[in-house]
Amino acid sequence: MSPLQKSPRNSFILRLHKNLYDQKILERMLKEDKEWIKPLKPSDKNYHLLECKTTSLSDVLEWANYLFYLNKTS
Amino acid sequence: MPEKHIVVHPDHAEIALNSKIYSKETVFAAGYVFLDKSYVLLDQAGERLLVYLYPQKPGADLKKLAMEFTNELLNYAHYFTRLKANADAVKSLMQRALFSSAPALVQEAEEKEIEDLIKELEEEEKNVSTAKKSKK
Repeated sequence: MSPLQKSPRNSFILRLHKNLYDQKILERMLKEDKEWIKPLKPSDKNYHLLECKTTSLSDVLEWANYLFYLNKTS
Repeated sequence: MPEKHIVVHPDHAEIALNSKIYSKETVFAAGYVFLDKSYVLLDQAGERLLVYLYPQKPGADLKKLAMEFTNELLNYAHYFTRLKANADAVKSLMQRALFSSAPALVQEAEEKEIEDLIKELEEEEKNVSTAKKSKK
C-alpha cells in the first residue's frame, strides 16, 4: 500500500518511515508549510503521519520530492 | 531483477527491494537521478525497502520507469561496492599525488616513519632485556 492515501476530508495522508526520513529535516519543512501540512498522531511509532490539506495530488508529491531531495543532499 | 518485485498500479509503480542488497544510500542515490522525471516515495517493511514512483508526465510507461530505476540502482550499488573495495588504493594514490606536488611532505613522512621504527625497535629491545632479567 502506497504511503500516500487520499483522505475523505479533501486531503491526503502521507506516511513516512522514521528510518528513511530525517526527523530534523522533516520538522523544518513542517514549520515552513504548517498552513497546509499537519502532523497526526501515528498508530505505529515507526512512522510520521502527516495530513496534507489540499485536493491536488501533485502538490503533495512535489512536497515529498523536495523532502527526498533534502534527505539526499543534507 | 525478477519482475515479481515490480508492481504497476494505475497511477504509480511499486518496487520492492532487499535492504541487505540495496542500502538506503544506494536507493537515495538512484532516486535522486529520477527526481526530474518522477515523484519518489519510500517506505520500509522489515528487511524490504519499498520505492513508489509516480510519473511527472501523465501517460508515462510505469513499467519502463520502474525498470529504468532498477538499472540505476544496480549502477549505484556497483559504484558504492567498488568505492569501498578501492578505498585503500584511492587513499594511497591521493597521498602520492599530494607528496609529488610538495616534496617536503615526503621527507617529513619518511622522518616520521623512521622515528616510529626506531621507537618500535627500542621497545622490542626493552622487552627482550626485561625477559632475560626475569629468567635469571
